[in-house]
Amino acid sequence: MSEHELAASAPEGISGPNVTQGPATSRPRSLSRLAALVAALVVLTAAALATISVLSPSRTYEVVVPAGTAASGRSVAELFADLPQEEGDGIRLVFQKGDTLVARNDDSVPHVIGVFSVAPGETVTHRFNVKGEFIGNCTLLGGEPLTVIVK
Amino acid sequence: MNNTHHHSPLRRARRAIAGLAALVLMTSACGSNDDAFAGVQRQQRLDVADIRLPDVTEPQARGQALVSADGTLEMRAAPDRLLLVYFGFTNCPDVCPTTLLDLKAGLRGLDPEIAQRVDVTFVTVDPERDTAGVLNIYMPYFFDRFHVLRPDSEQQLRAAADAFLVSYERSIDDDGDVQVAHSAVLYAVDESGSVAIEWPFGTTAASMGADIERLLQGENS
Repeated sequence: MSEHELAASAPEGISGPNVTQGPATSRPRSLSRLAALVAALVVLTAAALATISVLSPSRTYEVVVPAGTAASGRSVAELFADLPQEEGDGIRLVFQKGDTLVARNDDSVPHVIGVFSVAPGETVTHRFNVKGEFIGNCTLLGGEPLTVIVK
Repeated sequence: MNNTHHHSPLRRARRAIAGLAALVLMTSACGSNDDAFAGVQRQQRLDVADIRLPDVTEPQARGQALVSADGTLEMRAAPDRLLLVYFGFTNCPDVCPTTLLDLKAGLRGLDPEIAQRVDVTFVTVDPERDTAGVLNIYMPYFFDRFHVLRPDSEQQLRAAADAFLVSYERSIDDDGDVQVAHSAVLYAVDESGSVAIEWPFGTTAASMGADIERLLQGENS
């Protein structure tokens, strides 16, 4: 297509010199395709980051009930001190879906640790697969409620 | 102008997008954990097969759990069935009825042919007040078919509770009212008499239902 033909096909009100440069005719299309690809790239990057951020926080926490705990008769809330908690009645442990709690009982009697009981010498490992609020008691807390919140 | 060189930014962009798409798919697939049970699965299952407790269920309401000639229920599921066991008391104001209602809803969400393969068992930790009559009035609020178990003695109740690692404690408060504290876990017992899954209080009806269906399909056996 010649420069004259291009100029002739230009819309009214657009002066000739702006549309008569041959190479510029393919540039808008390429740029728009590139822009679309960049936009898709941004969306996919965000999706990838979101996916990774969902996966990466899974952590494993451990609670160990020392030997002689029941005999001592004391409340041992400090056993949960290293676990994420929120304010509220009793102990409110907060986990993310996918987190794992490992509870080991070195005492001579069973202990209820929130959502499960642990026999003497037993280790119970539980991965929190479902979001929710699970309410139990805790023999370590003298009857205080122990709530596990999975977010 | 070199044609290949002219289109290289677009090709690079396409390659980058393809790579990212693959990454998203891979990470999504790796992160999928939909096959996990909602309930607690103990590494070493609790063995409750030796536990026997008196079944005081009215005959017309009795489920299909294994009841011996002496009237005691065996703590193992009948063939091709699942035995669900809950320790509670009928005066419980919140946790017990909520758990039973959640279970009822969970079972209603299942195919009836699957749901009817479940035997629900309620063990009272307050046998003094929970007589056979009281238990048989209480449970029909939740289920058409069930088993209510009332231990004959404190020793019998304690032995059963210990096998399930259930904690319970009865006391009298300052007003003279009986207070009962107990662990609030629902247990699924298989044919061998071992506890396959434990659901803590707060497990949703849908989660329980999904776990039950999978247990009855032979998973975690």
